[in-house]
Amino acid sequence: MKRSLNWFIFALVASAVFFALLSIPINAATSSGQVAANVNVPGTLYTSISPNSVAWSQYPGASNATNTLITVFDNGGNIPGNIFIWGSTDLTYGTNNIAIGNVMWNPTALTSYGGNAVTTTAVNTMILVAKPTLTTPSTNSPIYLGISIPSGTPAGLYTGSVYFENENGSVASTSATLSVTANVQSTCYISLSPTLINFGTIASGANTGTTWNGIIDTDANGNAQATINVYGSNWIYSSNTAITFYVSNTMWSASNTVSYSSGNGLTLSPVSTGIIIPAPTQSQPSTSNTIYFGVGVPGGAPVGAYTQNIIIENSC
Amino acid sequence: MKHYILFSFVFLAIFSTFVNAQLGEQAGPLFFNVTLGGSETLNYTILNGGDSPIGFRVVLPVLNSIPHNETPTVSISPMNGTLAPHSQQLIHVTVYMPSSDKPGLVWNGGVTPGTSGIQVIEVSPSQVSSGMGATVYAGVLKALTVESAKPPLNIMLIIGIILVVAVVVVIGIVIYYYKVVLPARIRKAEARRKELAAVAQAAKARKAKARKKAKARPKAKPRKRGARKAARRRRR
Repeated sequence: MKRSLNWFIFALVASAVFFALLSIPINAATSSGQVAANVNVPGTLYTSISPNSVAWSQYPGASNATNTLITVFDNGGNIPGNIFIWGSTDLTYGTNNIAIGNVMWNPTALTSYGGNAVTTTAVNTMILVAKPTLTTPSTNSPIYLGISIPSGTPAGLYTGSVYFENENGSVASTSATLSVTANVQSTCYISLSPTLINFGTIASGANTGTTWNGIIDTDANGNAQATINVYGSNWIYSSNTAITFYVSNTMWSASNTVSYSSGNGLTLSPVSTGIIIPAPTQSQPSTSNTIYFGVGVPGGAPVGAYTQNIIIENSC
Repeated sequence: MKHYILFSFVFLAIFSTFVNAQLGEQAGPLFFNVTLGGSETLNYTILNGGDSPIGFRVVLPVLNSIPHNETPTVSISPMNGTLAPHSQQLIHVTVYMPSSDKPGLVWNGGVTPGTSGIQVIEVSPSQVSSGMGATVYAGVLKALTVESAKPPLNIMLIIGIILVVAVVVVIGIVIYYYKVVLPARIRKAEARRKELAAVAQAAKARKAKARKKAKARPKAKPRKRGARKAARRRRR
């Protein structure tokens, strides 16, 4: 009986020691698991754009509407920012260039060329790119671009860059670069002054002699050399359209110092005069030349007023 | 008596240097390379670089003529319209080449004397006349060159021709076989059969003759046994 009690006491003590030992490491782990973790998330902005390049094709003296969409994104930032925009000094093609100010930006699409000129220094467009959130980690806003090609810009592929950056106070992202290409095409224009010629009063059988009436043919926008072609209609008597005298009674000339008979008879179909309108340039965006006209009245022509149409055409 | 009749061309004192409507065109001539019986369309741009609209009309080109060949036909669209300020208009030019022409011929308009390119002329000058004197209209002229070219090889046509030739050849062979070869073979086989029949008949006749001859000849006495030995002994 006594022996059994000893065994019982021994088993009880052993169990108590066992559970006491078992409980020691459990209490130790619980007490050492509490770590204070701190992370400081600063206000951050990112900038990316789509597309990364644009190409315009245009003639000198003409423009593209400010409606080329560029979407500016903040992917992964956490504060709102305004879009800032600036550009390279010029769009260049060899030694030729188009100043960056000919590129315009606008917050909304325009049906014509207009808005704000891009400058070489960053400008706050006041276009807000909203704050990205955990549920919407990417936000964006549109900005629209257009370009005007200055008169006299030589034909060619002009390239440059426009930069975009989201900024909020002192917080700014790295900039995104838009590659800009302008394909300037070759063209010539015609503008005539005056568009009426009064030859005055001429006796029948007489002509204008060395008195010539000049028409100034001007190319005020193009970039290609042009040649003047000319022709006309027969002279028509204003009181009776059945009475006419022939177109070739009108003479044209590249010079106003020659006599009437040294001129070239006007024809009913176009002829090349060989008179050149030089190609305009950016430094001389308007070029011109003059074609002179004189008239001789055939003998026997009835008294009265006569009219004629003269067509002057530039070909390039 | 010499008459000096005075003509009163009404004075229209417009000597301003005001720059009028600016009509423009894309530079460079148009070059068409058109296959015989075909057509080609090219486009070019006309422009208004000014601040006021320009009404325009188009005059078709006049191409040179080439003896014994038809001159290609040119159609243009649009033939008239209005260019808004600072706007552009695409002009579509289509050249139709007669199929009867020779390849390698060249026509032009506005390049050589007596021809004319495509003319786009303002409908009315910006300064309106009272109807007296000479009214001057501005225009732009587009030179063009047209060259005739051989039509490209039509692979389907070639395949068709080959197929037709093949069919004709096969039908010819079949007809030749049935009309010439087969009858000849039949005739040859018939002749051979007749020849064999004749040979067989001749052999039969020879056999019968031989049999008859054999019957007519007397039979030889059969030799006794040992007759040869006896004859040999006798000779000795």
